[in-house]
Amino acid sequence: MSAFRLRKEAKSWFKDIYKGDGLEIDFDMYYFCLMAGIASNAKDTTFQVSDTSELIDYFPTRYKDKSRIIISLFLSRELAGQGVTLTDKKSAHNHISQLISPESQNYLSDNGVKLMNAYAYKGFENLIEWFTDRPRTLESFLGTYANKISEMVKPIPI
Amino acid sequence: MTIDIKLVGWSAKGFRCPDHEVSLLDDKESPYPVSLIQMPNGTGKTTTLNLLRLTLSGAATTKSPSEIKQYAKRVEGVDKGIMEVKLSVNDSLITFILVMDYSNGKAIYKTTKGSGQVNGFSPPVEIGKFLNPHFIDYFILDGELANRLLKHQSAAQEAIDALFQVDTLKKISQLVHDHWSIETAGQATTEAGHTLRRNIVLDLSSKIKLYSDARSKLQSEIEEILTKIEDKKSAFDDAIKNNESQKTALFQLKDRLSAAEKLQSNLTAQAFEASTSPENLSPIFGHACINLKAGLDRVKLPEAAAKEFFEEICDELECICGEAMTPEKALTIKKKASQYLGSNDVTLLNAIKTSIGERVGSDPERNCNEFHDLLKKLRDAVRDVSTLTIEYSELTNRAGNEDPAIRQAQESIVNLTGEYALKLSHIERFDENDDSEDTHCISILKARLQLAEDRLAEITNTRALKNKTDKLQNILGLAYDKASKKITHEILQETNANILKWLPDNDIQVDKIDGHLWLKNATEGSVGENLSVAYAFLSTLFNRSTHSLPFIVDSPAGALGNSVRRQIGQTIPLLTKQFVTFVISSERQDFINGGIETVVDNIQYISIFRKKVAGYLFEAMKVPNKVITDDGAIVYDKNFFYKFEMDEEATL
Repeated sequence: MSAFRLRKEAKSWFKDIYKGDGLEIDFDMYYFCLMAGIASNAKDTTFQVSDTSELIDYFPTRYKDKSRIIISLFLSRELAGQGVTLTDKKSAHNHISQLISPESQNYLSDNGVKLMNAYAYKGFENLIEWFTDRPRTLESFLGTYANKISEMVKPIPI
Repeated sequence: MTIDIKLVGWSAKGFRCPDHEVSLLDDKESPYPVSLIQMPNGTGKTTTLNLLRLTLSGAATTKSPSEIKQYAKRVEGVDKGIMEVKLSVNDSLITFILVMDYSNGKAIYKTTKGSGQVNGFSPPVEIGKFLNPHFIDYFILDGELANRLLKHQSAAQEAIDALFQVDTLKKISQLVHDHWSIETAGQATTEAGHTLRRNIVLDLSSKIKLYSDARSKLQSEIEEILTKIEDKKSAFDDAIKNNESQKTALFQLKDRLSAAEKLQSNLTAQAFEASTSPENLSPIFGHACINLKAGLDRVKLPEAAAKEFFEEICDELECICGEAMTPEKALTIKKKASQYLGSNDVTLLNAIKTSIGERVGSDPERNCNEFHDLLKKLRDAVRDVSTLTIEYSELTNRAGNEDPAIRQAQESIVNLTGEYALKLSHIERFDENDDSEDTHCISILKARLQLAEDRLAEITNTRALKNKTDKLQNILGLAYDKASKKITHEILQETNANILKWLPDNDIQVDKIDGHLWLKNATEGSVGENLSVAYAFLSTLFNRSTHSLPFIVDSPAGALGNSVRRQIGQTIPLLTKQFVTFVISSERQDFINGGIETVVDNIQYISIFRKKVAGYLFEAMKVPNKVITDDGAIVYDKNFFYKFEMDEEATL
């Protein structure tokens, strides 16, 4: 079972809003990178594993009941990217079974985790572009982040 | 059997504090449950407490000659200091004597117990775990210890480790590692790269030690600065209280600012929580999920039947249509079955569809609008905090122009805050995930050292020994984690039970002990709650079925407001069988009368001061229960205790 992986530079970038009064766990950083990648439809499947740090291989408590929405969004983005229109059962079945795995703790196949990590990897680059400087307070980060997501995201043709 | 330790008394002669002898025994020769010792600042209170720590821990022998000489009385002809501390251990008397020889800069100990006097610091084995340099600070403590237990990254864990000696496992692990280093150092080899690889290991080891030491030093300095900042903030508040023209406006503004900051903090937490639900971030995300669900419905995924259903049919004698199941038929059904999802896939896809229905609903715009409304409220709150901060700053500047004490405290806070930020930026490089060649990141260097040691082990044919070393260290690490977790869990449960018992009206509990104490449902309690929790934790450690220790506390009420003083005064005596505290006259109000005196009857009142304070010496001479030494006066009298009004003597 594959683990989520976070770009190594991300910890330094988030450091002022990590722990203390801000983000509480490494997965929080991963989540914000992932959503940025999915919103911008940007992923880097050629990233070097050595450029990333291994996180957990399951959704932590805060995200447990939101995990299926995160997976839905990821499936939508990925299926749309592959041109799957969900009109043909066989094709939908084939594509979906390559991305999910009910036996794994994060419900994703190894390939699914790898692709999700690719969105998070590229999403971090988006964050750097969106913010002129790394975030110093959680409240300023959340405001800018939400605005940028709204600005960047385009309808997902699924 | 419970080991019951009590402080019976002590005498000090030849030190910077006035010569004095203190007995904590009542008429029945039992230690008072509460002894209040009033010593003005500058009388040598800190010296006395340090001498108590040194005498009861054996740590003076590690002091340098110059450190020893610092304790000398500044009077010609005094070449040694003698501190004698008496403990009662299950009603048996043990006396520890510390002699500081100023001319040679040496410290020696003597110990007197049942069998007579022996040279050296020699506590009975059963109390050795309490009387050592690692643990002594936890029961002879200053007012700041409680704060450290809640904020310092490892203070609470260190207290538990020291008491239960779990850290012995870590020490053994270090010994195992040292053994491996010694073995590989003596290993002869013909391998050309050996020296190079060994140098890499040595270089990395020395870097790790250098950086770890530097980090620890910086950490201590940062904690000291934070303490100083808190002190200066208290000084600032005190100065403001004396500023009649601005104080009302300032306190009102401060209250408004605190309320605004609290609101901002609550809204930030809500916004953060909301942002972790993707459907709140954009209606497009919500629509994508809804479309996915609709698409799956359209192609009838998941099917009503899973592939296991068809595979099971093939094992039957008859097909569900009633015809006999032939091998050819079974093969065809199995082939087709692969087009169906497994039952787990079916469950997962159904769960995904249910989640979409429940969380996103049919109106994705609504989730997103609510989130953006929340963000707007947060922006407003940030703006309010900013405006109030500027107003508060302007008002404090105005007050500072009127009152030099305010100005001085303000400037100190600004300078210390700058110093704090600087130290913080220095410490960051030891933690930052920098993978470059000249990194200062300790965890990265440790990973490199492990690799380098592995490579060295290969080349010096000590692979087998290295494997054994690693395995043993691994077992010791696991044993430490397991023991530590179990003990910490027990202490946590007991601490919470004690908090419920002692503070039934406060809705406060400890959530976890992870390095320090973490409060449940709150990042930080009030000052009073924090102190109560910290004392309850220490009390849980000190008063167990196996042992009971006294609380010896310096200035427990110093920086507290009146209501908190009352709360703490009413709480601490209940937590321990013996509470000995050093106070100054301004700490009496509310802490003693209104606090301690409302819960304990049998209290001992002692005042210690230098003889040069002529006015009080004259008053002391009228009191029957007193001891006058060459340079000090010790008065055992409640009335005198309350008449004595002096926080500060001339600096020594």
